[in-house]
Amino acid sequence: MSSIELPMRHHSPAAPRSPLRLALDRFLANRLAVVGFTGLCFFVLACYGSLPWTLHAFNHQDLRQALEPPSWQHWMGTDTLGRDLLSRFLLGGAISLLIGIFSALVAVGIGLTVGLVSGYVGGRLDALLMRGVDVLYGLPYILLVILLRVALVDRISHFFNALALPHAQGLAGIVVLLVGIGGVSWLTMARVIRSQTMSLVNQPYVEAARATGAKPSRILVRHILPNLIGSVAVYAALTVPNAILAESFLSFLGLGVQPPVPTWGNLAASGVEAINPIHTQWWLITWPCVGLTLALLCLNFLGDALRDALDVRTR
Amino acid sequence: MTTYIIRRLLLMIPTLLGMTFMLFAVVRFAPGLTTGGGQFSAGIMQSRQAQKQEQQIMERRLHLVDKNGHPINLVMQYILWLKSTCEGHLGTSIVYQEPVLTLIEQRLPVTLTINAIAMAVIYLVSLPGGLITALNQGRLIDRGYGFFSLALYSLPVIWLGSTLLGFFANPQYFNWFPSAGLHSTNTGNMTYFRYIADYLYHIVLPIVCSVYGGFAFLSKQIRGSILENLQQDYVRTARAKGLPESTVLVRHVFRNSLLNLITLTGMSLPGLLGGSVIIEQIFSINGMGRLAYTSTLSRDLPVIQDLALVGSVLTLLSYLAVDICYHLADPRVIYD
Repeated sequence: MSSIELPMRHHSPAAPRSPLRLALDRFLANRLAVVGFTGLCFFVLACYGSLPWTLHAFNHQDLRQALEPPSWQHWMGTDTLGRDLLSRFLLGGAISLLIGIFSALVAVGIGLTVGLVSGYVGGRLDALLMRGVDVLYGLPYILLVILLRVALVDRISHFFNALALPHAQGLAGIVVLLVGIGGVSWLTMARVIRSQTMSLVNQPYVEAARATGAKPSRILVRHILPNLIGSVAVYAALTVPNAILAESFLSFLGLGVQPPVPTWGNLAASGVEAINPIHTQWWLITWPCVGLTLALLCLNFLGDALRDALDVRTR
Repeated sequence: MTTYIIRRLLLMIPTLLGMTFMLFAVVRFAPGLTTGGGQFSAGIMQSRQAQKQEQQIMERRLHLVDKNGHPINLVMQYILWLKSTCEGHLGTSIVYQEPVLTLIEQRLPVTLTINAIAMAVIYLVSLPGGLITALNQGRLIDRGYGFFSLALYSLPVIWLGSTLLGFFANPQYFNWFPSAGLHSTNTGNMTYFRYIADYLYHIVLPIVCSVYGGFAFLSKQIRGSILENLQQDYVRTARAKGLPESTVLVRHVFRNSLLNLITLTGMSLPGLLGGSVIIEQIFSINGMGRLAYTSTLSRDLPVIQDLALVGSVLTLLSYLAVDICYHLADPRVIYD
């Protein structure tokens, strides 16, 4: 099939631009979005590219060099235990971004499934699922994540201990945060996908597909899902910064990832303690927060531009 | 309409049951239980036997075990809790040894004041902001406003909050604001207005922290709905029949855009009472957020459950209020 289609595409010079191409053009025309994307790529490269080095250095203590301001030897200074802040910053960034991206994936997975099923099947199942969403909407999400953490973290860290992984407690914290934050941020997604699915189901081409005898699974995957990709991308892009922010809040409250495993949130939290009238160790709080702010800014620019590029209303 | 409201109120019951049961299950699934305020007064000095006795009394009070000390299953625990709640007995905090209602009465005014002022400021900036950016779509002011509101939104409150505290409430730098607490020490000899002014002075920094991130979302929503309305046929008609532009904007565009605001405002109403855990934690304010947070940490079950109950009821009522307001504002929206 594809061997026939491909040459045909090449030979038509005045082919109309595909919706994807249109969206890409609109996206590239938005300078802030390009800045956001470049910045994000930089963060990802820096944080993940330096992993082989930071994974060894992040917990190396040297009490003789505790609380030193930034210097050529330690670009970002050192913390109370004399650990190099740069390597903790980079690893922390890698973990924060990981939590953001995976929570968004969890949220997209659940939200998309619930929204699709609810919108396509309709009736009783729809009512039931949407009441469930209402129920979860009403609960304070920070409370839910805290309770999940309290309930699960010990069990998971026992499991990791049994697997003889290092920093089992910290790893368990990461996993619980991934699941917890993802598990509470799919609600808006599910609602949006549901309402869009409901309007798509009544489109003539879906009717045509059904008339030709296509199975529901095929209609969902081939005819409805491709039309939802825009909204999914937008909500996913906007969920990532929110998840990173949620991680930093929880770590700030001491409920997120436990030290010595660093994240931008718990680095900032330990930096806050360093603000006091006697000695202000500004570098302890400034670097993680600058990282957090810049990453969030890039992600928000990106999400905002995606929304503008894919949103039909404001065209 | 009346039948609609009654039906909605009845439909609320299963949702409410779902919400409270959900939280009930998670709270009780989490291990551990506080042994109560007694532990601070006499707890440490108590014999182990007395401690155990206290624990047993507590477990019985919370319906964790029955009279003979046998554990009760979760659903039964929930039913017992529901029964006593329906009879009007809200719980008593284990940690504070006070009824939850009293605790809420103490904590609510601060949170409500901060949130109400913050919300007012956010609307006062975002409404004109959204209007101006929509009318100047694509120009420098639109892009500049979008950039700065998004930049503010991206600033983590943990940083801004603690930095404000570190620099503006610090004798070493600028000692402009108090670092904690809600009153000066000499409130006794203040006049009423002095007292209010003193109170407001103490919550300036928390309000700043609750406000600055709120512009981006609201402005963007208002901007979007104004742009959408500008393209409507009735706006073109209004312009075609020669109405002055200001009338078109105010009477046709802005009024219709406010419809979308009803939903946004309604959804944020329950949040007014919730309080931000982070901000209250940074500025040491004993508000609702901190109450929920500390109770969760100390597993103060009655407080968590009742806060969740109050929160769920308010959320559902504001959903209903949104739908009713929608009907009142736009008669085309009819509920069967």
